[in-house]
Amino acid sequence: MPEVELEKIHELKGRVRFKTPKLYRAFHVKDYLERVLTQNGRIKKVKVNPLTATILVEFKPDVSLKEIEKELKDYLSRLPTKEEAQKLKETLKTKSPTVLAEEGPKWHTMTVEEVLELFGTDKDLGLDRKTYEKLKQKYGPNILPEITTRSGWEIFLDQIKSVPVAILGVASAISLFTGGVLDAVAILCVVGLNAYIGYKTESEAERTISSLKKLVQPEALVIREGKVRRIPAEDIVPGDIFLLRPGAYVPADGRIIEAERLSIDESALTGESLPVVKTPSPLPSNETYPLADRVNMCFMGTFVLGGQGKAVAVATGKDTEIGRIQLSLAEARPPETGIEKQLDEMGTKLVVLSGALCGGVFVLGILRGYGLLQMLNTALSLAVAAVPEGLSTVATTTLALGVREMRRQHIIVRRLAAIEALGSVQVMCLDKTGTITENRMQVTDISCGGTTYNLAALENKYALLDPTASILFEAPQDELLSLLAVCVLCNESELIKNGEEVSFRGTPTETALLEIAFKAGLDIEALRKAFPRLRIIHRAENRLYMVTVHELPSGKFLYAIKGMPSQVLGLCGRALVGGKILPLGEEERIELMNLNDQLAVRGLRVLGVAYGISDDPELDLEKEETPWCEDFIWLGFVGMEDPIRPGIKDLIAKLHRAGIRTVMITGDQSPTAYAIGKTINISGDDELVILDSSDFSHLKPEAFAGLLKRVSVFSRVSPADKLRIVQAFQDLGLRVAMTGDGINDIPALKAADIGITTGSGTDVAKEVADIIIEDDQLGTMVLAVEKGRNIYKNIRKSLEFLLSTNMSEIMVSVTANVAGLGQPLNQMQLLWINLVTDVFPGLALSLEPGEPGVMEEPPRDPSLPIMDQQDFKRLTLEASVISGASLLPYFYGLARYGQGPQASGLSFLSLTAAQLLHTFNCRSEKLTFLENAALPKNPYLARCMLGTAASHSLLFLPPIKKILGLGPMGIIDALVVAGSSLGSLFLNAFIKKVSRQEAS
Amino acid sequence: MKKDFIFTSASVTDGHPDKLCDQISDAIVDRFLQQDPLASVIAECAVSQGLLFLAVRFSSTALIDVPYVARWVINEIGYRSPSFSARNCTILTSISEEPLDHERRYEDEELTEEMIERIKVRNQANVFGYACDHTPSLMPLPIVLAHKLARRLTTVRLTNLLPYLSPDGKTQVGVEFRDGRPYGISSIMIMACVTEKLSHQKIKADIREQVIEAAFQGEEIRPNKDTIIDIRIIEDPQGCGPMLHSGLTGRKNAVDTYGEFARHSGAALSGKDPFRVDRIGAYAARYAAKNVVAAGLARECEVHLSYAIGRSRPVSITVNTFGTGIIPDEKIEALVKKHFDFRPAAIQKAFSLRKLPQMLKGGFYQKLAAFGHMGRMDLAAPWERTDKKDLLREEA
Repeated sequence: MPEVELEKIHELKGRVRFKTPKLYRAFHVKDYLERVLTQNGRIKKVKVNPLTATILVEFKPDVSLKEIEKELKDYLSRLPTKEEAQKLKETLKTKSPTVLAEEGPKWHTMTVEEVLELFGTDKDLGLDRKTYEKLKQKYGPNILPEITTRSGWEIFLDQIKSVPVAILGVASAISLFTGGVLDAVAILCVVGLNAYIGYKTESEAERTISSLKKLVQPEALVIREGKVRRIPAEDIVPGDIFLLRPGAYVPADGRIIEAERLSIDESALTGESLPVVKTPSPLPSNETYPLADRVNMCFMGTFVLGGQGKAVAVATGKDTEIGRIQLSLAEARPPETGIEKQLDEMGTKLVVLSGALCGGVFVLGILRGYGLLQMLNTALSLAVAAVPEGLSTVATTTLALGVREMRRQHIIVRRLAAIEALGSVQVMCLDKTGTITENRMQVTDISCGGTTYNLAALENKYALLDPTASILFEAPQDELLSLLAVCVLCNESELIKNGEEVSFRGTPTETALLEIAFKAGLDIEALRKAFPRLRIIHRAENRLYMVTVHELPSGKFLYAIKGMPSQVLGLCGRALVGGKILPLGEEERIELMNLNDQLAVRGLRVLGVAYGISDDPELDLEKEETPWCEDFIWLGFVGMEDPIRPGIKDLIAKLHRAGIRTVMITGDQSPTAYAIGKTINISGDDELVILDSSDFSHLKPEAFAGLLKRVSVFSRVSPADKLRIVQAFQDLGLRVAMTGDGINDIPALKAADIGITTGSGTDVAKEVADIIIEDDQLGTMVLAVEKGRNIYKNIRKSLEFLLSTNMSEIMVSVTANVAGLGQPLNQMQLLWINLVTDVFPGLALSLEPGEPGVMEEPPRDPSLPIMDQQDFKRLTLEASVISGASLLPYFYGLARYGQGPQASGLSFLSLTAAQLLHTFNCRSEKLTFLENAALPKNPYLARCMLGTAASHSLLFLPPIKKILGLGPMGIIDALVVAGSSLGSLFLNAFIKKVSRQEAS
Repeated sequence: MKKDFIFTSASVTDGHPDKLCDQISDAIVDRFLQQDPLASVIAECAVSQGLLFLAVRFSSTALIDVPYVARWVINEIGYRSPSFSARNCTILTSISEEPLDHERRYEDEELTEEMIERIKVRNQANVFGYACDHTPSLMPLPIVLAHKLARRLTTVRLTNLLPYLSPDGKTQVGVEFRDGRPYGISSIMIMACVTEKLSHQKIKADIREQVIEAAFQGEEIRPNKDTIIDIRIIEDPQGCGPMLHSGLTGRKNAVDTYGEFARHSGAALSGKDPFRVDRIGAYAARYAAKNVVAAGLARECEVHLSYAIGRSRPVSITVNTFGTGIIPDEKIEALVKKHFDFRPAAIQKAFSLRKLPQMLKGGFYQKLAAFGHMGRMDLAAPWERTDKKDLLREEA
């Protein structure tokens, strides 16, 4: 490695400036160096100046200069290239900011006892009231500094602060000084009106955006005075002992006291998406630890994924790590969306370009001998016309309106950028439990006495029966009836009657059993009353069945039993078949186990049901040898499943039609995965490929990436691997949406480009998701995708209109100036076109209802810019046609009337008309205005056209005419205007058609 | 043919990756047939490192948990290393379910002569059956000895005699023939893989004593001082087997048949349901050849069958006794044609091939997939029966 040249310029205590040729004009490494060098906490501040090739380093006084020099050389010797630096920057932006250098006591190197003593608290008793009050006084409430939203005034001011308004201000000032009071007033009126429209739309958008932030009142479990209490999280003070439970946010920064398989997702703070396992033991003090490595600390705003624990609060509110980096979990203003960013960049480029053109026009005008002031005004107004103001506002407004519209369909969008991403989703990962299925149990099959009954066959089968004890057990006649009775008795779920409504409460499995008995018509309450329960023996690790003991009217005792089929069957010596009790031979057992396999392989959860009668209610079930076992009577199997949500199959089919790949991710075993994958046709027309693995980490990344292209079902997946799957798809350059509702889905939901959860999902899932489908109707996801695609297209349509019309104005002015044919458009005319004519059509286009067939197309390539070169070519062509439609009448006017208001009026009116008509051509990406009948009606467009027509009728008013400098106009003139504007409409339609054919 | 020569045959243990794949494929065939004897199924398997790929095409009323079966086999064989075990290997399954094949879904009892004729061959195949009088099972001696060593290599691991061995191993035996008869053992090669660092000296001594000596106990021909014994130890901390080299179903055809002592078909035997003629044809051909030798009509015999798609009978049946026949080969050929029915449905019915997995506890085909498909007296494979020898002898 060649030695890096590093020349020290000057040095102060804790401050040094170096010069090195490596940095000369190396603008791309400025941010990189300033960031990496401050990472380890020894260097406090770095400033790179690529122009002077110097670097200023401020560091902690206890660090030697040599070390700094060495570190600097190290980094300088392996500087990233421009591309790498750009990439680094991007990856950094997506992650949370790097955490500040350490300040305050090093809690993580202290023992638990030391920390507790420092706060004068006890780990079992917590704080007492007095200490608490004192601490509360001292530290204040545990709340993060608010990030304020823009007030109405600020929004209004932002409208006025813009470049075009500044130009206009100058223009009006010039008018004022040159005696054009009327002109000045007119300009100011137009500016005011425009600012008002901007203010209205933006404050609407702002309101929508700030409502994205869900107002949650976080709560926390603390121990105070020896009792566990649920208190608002803002009441926590340093020294409080708080409990950590899965699915809960950590309410304050804390030092872990106890941890039992405690794992915490700290991605909100560290950007590390894999959960961190916590322990109470202190870390050795001779090293520095970044936040992510402080495994005995927990931090406010992160959340508990699994296990449980206890911690003592060490910092609250603004003193917490999250408070210090001023990072709120749900930021009030989300980062700019991709579109906004692109549009801003595009806008800047266009500003530079049009600025140059305006300058050109100005200079040319002066050279041609026009007055300085006149040219200044023209150039300025041309600048106003040319500057594509508010391009990004178009996007923000359109996206915000989309958010509102989706809300009406019970889809809550929590991030503006999500809508844009939604439209470009290429892969949709669906977590099975809770999104594809309903996350409950339902009995589908009961198999007994050689017959398998399905749900329909059981409906009200025993409705009219009043079963007595002897029919059920002592002299049984119907194995199905006895089986259902055991299901009711050996069951801890409760029946809740609420008037006519009946519901069940308990574990999913037992609830399902109760439900099926109820559906079959059994009187659950009566049964339970008739056979009072004496004992419950719950299932244990090596005894996978549950037994309940009941009193029989005869004075004997009933043992009701349900559980793992093989074990239950092992207890039975006889079976009830066709109402007769028969001995169970080896052959029958094998047959029964085959039956069990057949149910299990369909993805069902299978339970075996049996019963026995004994004189002794206290039989010891733990005993190795249990002679009474032989007396148990086998009844049958119950198979149940987590039912698939209605409409899922349809959803999958629609997603496939829209070119979106669907992938199912499940922690279940493969037969369930296969059965469900097949039912919902997850792989479409392709073969169903299942990847069955509980650990992908030993797979080579390239092998994994290769597999991803074919796999449509992932089974036995661990939560960490869910994340890996999503990230691997992203590494392939695909936009990924992930649906899920459980705590274990959270890392994946966060990592996905779009996290989608349901209204019934866990709170944390909702907290991290970008989109919440409130009514659980996953089918609406298709609507959401469709909406996302439409919004993107609408923004493009708006852009097409705004850019092509703006461009046409420039073309008209520039062409006339270059040709030395005077000024076809004066200042006021340009302002009128730009601020009156073009505003509403642009808005109306952004509200187009969406073209048919959007969901039959493949998703767009997310790496492509919103407007590519091809688009710009087309835009330029369209703009030339429109400007032609304005210039031709101008030439005609010149020939007939000579230079003056009449000729310029002709060009102004034709340009206005041509631009307005151009709206109809912009309504669809592919269809021309002649084919617009195929599009759904856009009521906004009709309204906007009406409004525009009304405002343009003002042109007939003499004062307005005077301000705009319009001369009298004859019939022939009117015909020329009409002809040229219609001509441009048809010519542009023709261009559209040709380019469409070329594209296909 | 030369009378004095040395011939080597190789075998592999059940943990060899290729064999692992064969066994998983056949375990899937077993599972399907156990639940639905009329199922048709093709199961192909490949394994490399921690990734196992399984392509299963089936048409059946049964449904089986394919990855579970694979994991079960891996566990059964004994791979338990942290990098490759039943629990942590990743299984990619490509499952395609086809509509039920009603032409073939008849119970054996329902299969009339007319139906047997109607069921056509769907795969073209050349299959070979061979038998010779080297051993009681009428198999060539080199492969029998190689299997014996491989089996012993597995046994010493499973019975904890040499617990440090991994399930992956290879054996090879060179037999010296004089005057066309086995005369002595010229070489023995054993390749074993271990995961721990152990003294190679000790392992070699252990294998010599526990494997080679034990395997040759009771054998007529044994290694002597001139026999070259080569024991190779491979150390792989990753766990040997698939972590070391990848495996594929149907790559050990010679091991499955006659150790290359006789011709064998290029088509794999494992992973195919018992209607596939490239599998069962080989069994039928062996059955015929074995009965010819058992009848004493020849000391060695090869039966060759050629099948063409769309026909039920083989287009050609030839018999070659390599000059050891007591009657002309043409005559034996005529007898074979007369007494053996080589139509797929007939073979299947005669051997009850679809019912075997149900009849034998723990399945049939999976067991067949390791240590050779031929000469399996231990499994009472139906093609090893010599029930036609008297008939042949009488008519000869």
